[in-house]
Amino acid sequence: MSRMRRPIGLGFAGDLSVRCAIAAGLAAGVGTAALVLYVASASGGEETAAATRTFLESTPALAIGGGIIIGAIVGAISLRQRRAIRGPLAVAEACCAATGGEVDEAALLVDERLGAAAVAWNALSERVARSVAAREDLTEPSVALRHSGVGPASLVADSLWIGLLAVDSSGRITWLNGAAALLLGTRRETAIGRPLTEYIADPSVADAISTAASGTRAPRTSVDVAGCGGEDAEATLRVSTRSMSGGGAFVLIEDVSQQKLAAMARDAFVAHATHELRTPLTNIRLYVEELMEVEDPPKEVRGRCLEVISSESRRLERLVADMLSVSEMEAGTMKLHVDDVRTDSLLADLEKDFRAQAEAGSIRLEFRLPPKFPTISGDRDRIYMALANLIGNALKYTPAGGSVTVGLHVSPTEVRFEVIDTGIGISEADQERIFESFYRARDQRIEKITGTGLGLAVARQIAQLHGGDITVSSVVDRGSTFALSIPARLSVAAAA
Amino acid sequence: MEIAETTTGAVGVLTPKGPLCGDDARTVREAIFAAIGKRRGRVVVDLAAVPFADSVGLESLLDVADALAESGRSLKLVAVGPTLRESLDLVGIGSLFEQYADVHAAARSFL
Repeated sequence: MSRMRRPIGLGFAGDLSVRCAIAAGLAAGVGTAALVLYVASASGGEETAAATRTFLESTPALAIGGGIIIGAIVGAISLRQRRAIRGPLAVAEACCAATGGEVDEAALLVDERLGAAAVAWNALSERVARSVAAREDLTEPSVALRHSGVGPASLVADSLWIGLLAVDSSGRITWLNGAAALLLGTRRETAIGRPLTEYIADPSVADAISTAASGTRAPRTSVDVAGCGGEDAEATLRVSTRSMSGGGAFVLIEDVSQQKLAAMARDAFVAHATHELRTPLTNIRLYVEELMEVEDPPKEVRGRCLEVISSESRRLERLVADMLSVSEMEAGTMKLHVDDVRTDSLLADLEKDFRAQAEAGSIRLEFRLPPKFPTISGDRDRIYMALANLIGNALKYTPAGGSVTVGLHVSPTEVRFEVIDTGIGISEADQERIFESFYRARDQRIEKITGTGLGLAVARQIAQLHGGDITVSSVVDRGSTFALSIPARLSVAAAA
Repeated sequence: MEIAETTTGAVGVLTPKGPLCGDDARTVREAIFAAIGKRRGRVVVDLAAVPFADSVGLESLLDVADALAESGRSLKLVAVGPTLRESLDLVGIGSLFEQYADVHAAARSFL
């Protein structure tokens, strides 16, 4: 025990009582001797007087001795009594200190050598302290919140990734957990005492906090605040407020940035996807109706209509395949069916499928191919899908009069397909993001050009599953070059 | 050490290239802390190009994990190689990180 209480003043009082007892004993002894002398001399003769005188001469010694004996007896009794009451006196003193406001547990402890009362008092004191501490940690939030950083409640709060704060009636932060400090971009100790609106300067948030803190029973409110993250341009925080007992408000902050972007991307995808689906369907319908309207149409007309219907059908097919591929990518279930792939056949099919689209857009589509076509190992349908996306994008973003060139380069280590266009080009900032699913460049020039934002994401995933990748180099207003590289696992020597 | 910084949606992706050792590890740690502050914790670290880490490297990752734990978050690691994973498991800190196979899966965890 760090501090042991001893009864204040009892030592001096004890000494005084012993002295008094000795003095009383001496006085009693002298008085008794004097009385005896007086009686003897008054009632007896000379012999008696002489005996008395002899007695009196020995009286002082007798008195002193008797006084000492009596004093010792009284002192011993006094000492014993003093020891017996020291414990209860110390407990009484500690009790007075506790009710007087002393909260230091160590200062309220009593030396257990003072007896059973002291032992019992210490045990009671410790049990009360434990009980009070446990109750404060678990009761009302307003109580728990006052203990910043201490106790089980704060540990629980710091384990949450949702920001929790308490503000007073004037909107100043009185407590916050670790997540709140992170979301506000500050440190806990810095934020305490500062107005929350200093970190989230949105009028609707200020109104919500003011209403909640005023004590009116306002319903729980939520406000999405965008762009409050400083350098973090995509940050969106959802701020919810609730009145707190005793005044002030409780505030929850959630980072919904990723959810917001995902929702925007989904909405944009649905809008673009429906348009992408409608366009080939419309063309198919138009050419079918043309064939149906004319009885026995000329061979050239019929051939042209059927070619467009076939091309647009394949376009629909690719679009649906892209959507399904994205689902497989998201689920991590996209697989390859590897077999021999004749690159000459692959490129011939691509040329046939995109010839009509190029002619419709007045774009020159050219295939620059090597004299020998390798046969490679891979998933033909997937490689076709990836290249179709690259060629389709090139035709889409190249204005009339431009050109799209498809090349094939073979080296000992890789096979590289290139799609080079003279289109609108891609900014450097967008080049980093165009391979993300649903991402479309924020470019005014493509606002009227529809797209799902899936093609390049799917193409890159296919290349990577083959052990390769897709790269891009581009200059705005001059054109782009997309290169799909696949490791060369040539299964058969080059075919003519 | 080269540390590429890109984004996937609203999530920042840090891609260090090279062994996570000594001063390079400290540089990576400071870059991660800076990204965490900038993006309010929405950060993943792509370790596909990190072949191994020494004790300073492991301690750096642990420092970041500890700091994020105070705000209820975990450090999300992507494409941890077998050598690095073995190191993390040997010192018993592998479970302190969230590990993902690719960046997209890690970014989706913020939804």
